[in-house]
Amino acid sequence: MSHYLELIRIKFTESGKVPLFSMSVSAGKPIPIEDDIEGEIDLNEYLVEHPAATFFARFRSKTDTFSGISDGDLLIIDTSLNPTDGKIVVVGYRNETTLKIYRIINGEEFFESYDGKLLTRRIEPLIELKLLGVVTKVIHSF
Amino acid sequence: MRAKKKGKIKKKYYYEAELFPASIPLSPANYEPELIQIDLTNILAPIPKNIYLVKVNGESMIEENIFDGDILIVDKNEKPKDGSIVIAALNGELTVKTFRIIDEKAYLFSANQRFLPIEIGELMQFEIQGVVKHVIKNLV
Repeated sequence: MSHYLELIRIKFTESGKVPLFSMSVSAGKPIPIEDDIEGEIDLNEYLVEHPAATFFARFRSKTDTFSGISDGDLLIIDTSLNPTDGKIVVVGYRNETTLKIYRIINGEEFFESYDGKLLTRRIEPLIELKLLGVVTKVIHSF
Repeated sequence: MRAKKKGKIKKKYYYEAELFPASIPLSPANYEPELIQIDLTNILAPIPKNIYLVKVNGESMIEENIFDGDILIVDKNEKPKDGSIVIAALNGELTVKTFRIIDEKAYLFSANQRFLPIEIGELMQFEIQGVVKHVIKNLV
């Protein structure tokens, strides 16, 4: 396994509003002032669409990146969404949780590893790779 | 690259969260998760009044993994260091660049080799408007 995920379960306790500013690009005005407020967006709503069905995870890998996701990135994962082909998903197998790319090939579901290997969902008669959720947002810090 | 929209974070909010160590499944029967409180504002905007958001428009920073449509969280009070990713107002246009100091001269680099570095000249209208701290990508 080239990477692992630190799973974080969230519970909302308060919501936050973020004023949205509109910038005129060509004018290149400095930091926006109150007059420029275009509206308010809720950062919680922006980042988390389905709070009750969402958890966070931190991506950990010493050596690899996964589709541009690198060590320490914070992932927001929605367990209520059905993935479509090409989406990044969190997959559980035994005690491991990893990222995979969801693939549909000729109507059959596959999970693609970072090295391009395709895994079928059912890998042994009784053991199934568990689809835990779809990664909706990635937060990378500099 | 152009920066389109800005937002400012005002209010603090909290997530109460259970932190699972690595490789523990979501519903472990015999595992007591540590209850922690995650404050997203602390992670993304420790001093909310210093923070604003910018939506990226353009592809001049793709080698820094910043893409069209990403949201940048910018600290307007942080002083840029050599290598910082900054929002710069340059000749009347907002841009996202890498700030470099080489032989005491300031440059703005694009993280895309198709764009040439810009040396900051005395006659240029130029202002650093903040250091990019986080980038948020939408995957769905």
